[in-house]
Amino acid sequence: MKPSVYLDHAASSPTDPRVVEQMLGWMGSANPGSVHRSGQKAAAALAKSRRRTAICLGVAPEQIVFTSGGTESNNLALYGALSTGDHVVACPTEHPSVVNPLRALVSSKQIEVDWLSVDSQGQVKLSDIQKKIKQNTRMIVVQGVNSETGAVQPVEQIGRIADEAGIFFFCDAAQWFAGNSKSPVFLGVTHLSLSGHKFGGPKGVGCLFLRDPNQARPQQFGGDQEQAVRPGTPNIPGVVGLATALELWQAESKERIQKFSSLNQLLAEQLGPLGQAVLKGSSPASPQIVSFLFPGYNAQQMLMQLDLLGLEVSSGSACSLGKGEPSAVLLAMGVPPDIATTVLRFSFGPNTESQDIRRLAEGLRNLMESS
Amino acid sequence: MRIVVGMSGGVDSSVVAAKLVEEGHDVIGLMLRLWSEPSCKDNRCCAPEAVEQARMIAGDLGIPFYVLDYKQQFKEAIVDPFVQTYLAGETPNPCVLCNQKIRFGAMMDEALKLGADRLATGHYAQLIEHEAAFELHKGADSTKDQSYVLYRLSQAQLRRCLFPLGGINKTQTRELAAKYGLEVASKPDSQDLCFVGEDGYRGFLGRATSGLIKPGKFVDTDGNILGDHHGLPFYTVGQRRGLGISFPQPMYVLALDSDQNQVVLGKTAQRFTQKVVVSDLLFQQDPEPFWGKEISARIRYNSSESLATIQSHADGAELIFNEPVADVTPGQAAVFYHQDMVIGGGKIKE
Repeated sequence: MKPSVYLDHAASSPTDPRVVEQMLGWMGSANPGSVHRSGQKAAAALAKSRRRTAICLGVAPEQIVFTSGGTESNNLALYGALSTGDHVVACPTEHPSVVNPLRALVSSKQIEVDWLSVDSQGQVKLSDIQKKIKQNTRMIVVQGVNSETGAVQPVEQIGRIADEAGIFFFCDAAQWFAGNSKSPVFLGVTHLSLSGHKFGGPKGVGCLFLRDPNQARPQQFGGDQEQAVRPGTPNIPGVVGLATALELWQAESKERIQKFSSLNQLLAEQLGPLGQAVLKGSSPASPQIVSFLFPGYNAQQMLMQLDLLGLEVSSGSACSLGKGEPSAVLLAMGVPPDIATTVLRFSFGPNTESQDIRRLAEGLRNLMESS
Repeated sequence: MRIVVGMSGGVDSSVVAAKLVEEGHDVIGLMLRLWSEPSCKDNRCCAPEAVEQARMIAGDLGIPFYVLDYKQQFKEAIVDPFVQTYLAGETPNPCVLCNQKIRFGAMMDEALKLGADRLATGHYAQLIEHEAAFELHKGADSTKDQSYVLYRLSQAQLRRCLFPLGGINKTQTRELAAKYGLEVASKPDSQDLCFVGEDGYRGFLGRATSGLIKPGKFVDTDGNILGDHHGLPFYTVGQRRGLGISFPQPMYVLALDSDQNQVVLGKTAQRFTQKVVVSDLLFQQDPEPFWGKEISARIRYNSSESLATIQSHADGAELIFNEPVADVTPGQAAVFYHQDMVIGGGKIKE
């Protein structure tokens, strides 16, 4: 069998070998809290990783909190900032690691959430955000790039709205770097989360940018590591890996984004006759992620059939297989439930080549002809 | 041959998968997520532990493994009719229906869509091809034989089934597991339904039918009132304990009368009957040669067969047993055998 074609980088992108190499030197690191020289080395590596990450984001090192990943960063951003009586304006197509903490906060701390609407292209409206802000609004929650469709939100403008209103703006930027070279920390962004393994870093490490760490309350209790916001012995190989991956992305983003754009175009040409793209070509979107609807087919079945052909893709966000429920993101965009269950998502990585796209299209064509 | 194995994480289906891999087949593991009562943790057939176990086995064997969501379909096709049958005063057998509609229905469809030639499971039953047709025979291990719950599979289903454990016994299966190095925790075979919680099917029925179950009267065969019952679904034909009344001699549930909402009780001698009408027939073999002849019939899971003459009847078939049989339960399956071969079967009507 031919080696498989991996088009699921939005779920997790393989760790870049150059990142692995950097991490290996730190597998046996000491505790950065220790006084001895081994501890000092670890502490220096941690500080350096923080600074490298901060430079990539264009922020100060003390504004970076390392975590165990995107989900922890998102929970910490919300739980660390919101209190009883707060009002939140949130995008409905957020990742479950944002939607579910918000829902839990509604029931446990009696915060109030006003969900925005999105149009057929997954876009929130700035006027809608402005309209929903009220006296007790504490935070705007809008992601940078949608993980299922690739839709890019007008983060820069939302930042300005938040800044003018003097409220928090939390942006889940997990998928940001795969399609953008600019830092997502625009004016007005007060909270921003990243996940290492979405851009060639390792799994199990993420970070949270906090404009003012003093305003965040820790959600776990222990030592005073990570600006006293996130206790626990820091994951030295992990943070070294995250910082390295981030630097590599920024250094190579131009070529990568160019590559993704041409892969994206090829995919649209090849799959155009077979299905229908979720987003129009003109909509603001990350070139790394493309979703297609295949009305009349069942995504669960197609995923298995494609997998048996060595074509590794996914349907919407990871782990939909075995759930069978239509994607909440597509439903929010007005896609009918029976069509929403026919979606497949393709996402590229630095090693994706045009022959991978051709193989995918050929596999899909065969599969649709034979069923 | 491409073969899909219905995996449960248990020793039987794991051995099946390993055996087929060893034989050089292109094996794919499949598991369906089924519905369970919200208060109960998980459906026993596909609890997270079972999924993890199956995943590990598939990983060790190097075969693809997929889990598919069939909760809603299972609820509609199996659980809802289960409740309705009880409300109608009959005792359903959901496993028979599940094998027909879900395991060898929906899962078979999935297998075919994956390009499989066969769907293999760990059932203890044997398939014998004979003159372009398939015969379902009892498993070689009589203590594990599962042919009874497979009687509703059609020829179209049987021709695509594979039961690699049909010819061996459980001890041999365990030996194979050891040979293949399968680390399968041995969990006790459960007699309970997979989708109900710890308080069993009666607790489930109470919740699933709240408001629909009406208390009524216990009566004897002459219609004399003997006491009050909690509702038909809480009783089964043949039941003696838990009636809540004491009698000078043992009294058994003889019948559930849904028209009158009465539970009919009687003495030991009244439990026996010689004639049983069976409806909703499904024949795996041509029934012609058997009409008017002696066959053996099993009228509940985990019991032995009794000899009976099978005759055509307006509602399907009538069994006239050589010796009277006890506690014939409407709703349960009656399966007809010729020696070890399943001829067909149906639902006990009266």
